[in-house]
Amino acid sequence: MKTRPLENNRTRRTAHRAGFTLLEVLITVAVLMVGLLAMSSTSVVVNSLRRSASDRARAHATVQAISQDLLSVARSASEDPALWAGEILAAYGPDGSPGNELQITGLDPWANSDHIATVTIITDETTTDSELGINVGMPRDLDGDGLASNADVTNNASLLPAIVDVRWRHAGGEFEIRQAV
Amino acid sequence: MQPGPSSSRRADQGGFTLIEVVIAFTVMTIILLATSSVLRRETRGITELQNMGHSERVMEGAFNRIYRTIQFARGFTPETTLSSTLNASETGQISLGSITGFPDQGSLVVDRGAATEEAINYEAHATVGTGVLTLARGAEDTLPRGHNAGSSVIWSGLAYPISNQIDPDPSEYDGTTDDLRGDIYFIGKGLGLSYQVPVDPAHTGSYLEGSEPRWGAQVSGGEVTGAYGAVVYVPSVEITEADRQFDLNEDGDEDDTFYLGRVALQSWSTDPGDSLRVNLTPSIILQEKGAYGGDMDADGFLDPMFLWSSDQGRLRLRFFVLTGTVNGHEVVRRFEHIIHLCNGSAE
Repeated sequence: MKTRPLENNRTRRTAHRAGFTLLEVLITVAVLMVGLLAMSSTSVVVNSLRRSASDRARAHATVQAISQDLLSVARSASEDPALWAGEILAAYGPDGSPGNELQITGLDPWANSDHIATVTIITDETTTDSELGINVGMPRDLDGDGLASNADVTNNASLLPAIVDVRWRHAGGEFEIRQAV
Repeated sequence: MQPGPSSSRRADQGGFTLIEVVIAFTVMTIILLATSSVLRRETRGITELQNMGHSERVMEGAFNRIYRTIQFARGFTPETTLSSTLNASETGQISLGSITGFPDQGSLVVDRGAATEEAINYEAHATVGTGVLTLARGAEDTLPRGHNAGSSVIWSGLAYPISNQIDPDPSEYDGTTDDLRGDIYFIGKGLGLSYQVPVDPAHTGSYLEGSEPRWGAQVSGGEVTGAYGAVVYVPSVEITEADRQFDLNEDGDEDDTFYLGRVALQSWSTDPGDSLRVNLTPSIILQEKGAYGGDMDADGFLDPMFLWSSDQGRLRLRFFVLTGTVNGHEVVRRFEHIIHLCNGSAE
């Protein structure tokens, strides 16, 4: 009977020194892994944000470049109203060169699209802003006859509104910038 | 013998053995080292990304500043001829037919495209007559040569599309460049554009003189009628791919030499004291040494930084910028803008 306390003490010491259970170790490792992964993903997130901002800046630059180029084309086109619009359309019209759909280096197009930028030159005075989805003051007089009724001013335009549309994709999202020129 | 109270307490407070402590410290050390390594790498990565973002913002700011400065400008096409024979050893002065649009310091190319082609750096305009002074002959890996009177002279800043864009003879152009509108045959190196803007030095509220704009530029003392300005590339540091162990222009080798330089606004008038140069960017813009305007991205097309279409008032800017490093790899980014100069060309 006198040895019982000794046995009790040994049992208690063994229980105190039992160490960690497998579950405790797994939880600890999991918490550590989550912490390390969270830290290591910071730069991935920052890089994604930087790339996103970089793409947006590139898209803005593209819109500005095309807008400025349209002004240059308009400047160098014939001063003859019968030819002026035709020469602009020969550059940025659907059948022109480079045409109204442009690839832009460094940007990914929307799914199911093979181009980034679209240029729409409005030659129909009766088109409305709601049809275009942007406020360019349509319908309006584009040939200087005081009316907004000509459905095709290609041969006598004195003014040609244009819309530059840049669409790009990044990190699963699709983005767009539209600007009237 | 019964255990005393102190023996019982020691048994309850069994503590750790030395081996347990050593293992615990080892595990702790490994975890701390791994954590600090991840933190260090993340901090470095984020700093690198911030630096790249900063470089991109600097370039956007520079483009905006250039646009604001020259949108109402008229551009020049500085081309002329030698008005007298130039010996290979001459380092004092070159007499030119005109210095209109030539910056007060810069570089020009004599006999462009010929076997005797030579790049010459100069430090100032001649104070008497039309010419430039203080010459560094045989610049940009060319050789000092003699040139006859009447030889062609072009400011090295200039690059412009040739008029015949349909299958021209190779002797008519220096190269082709890819463009928004398709491939363009062009002449020149493309290091800048010289211009004049409407000015109002007397603050009258009008930029007109009669019915014409009063042309000039902002110089060190303010706006001056008859002054000129230029947006120019200024090389400042020479770097090699071998030193950086990186193929900067993606041409498949690491044996090219480049300049890192900046874009600056330079202006001058007939008074040498008016000269002004304002830096728009730090030295982060790449150009291959001895091949200004060369192919910078191995796409088979040349990449002049400034391409001036005088008939359209169109200036294309294209810069390759060393934006920084990511994980030890250099990152070169292409920046491109087009500016339509409302007042077109001076010619």
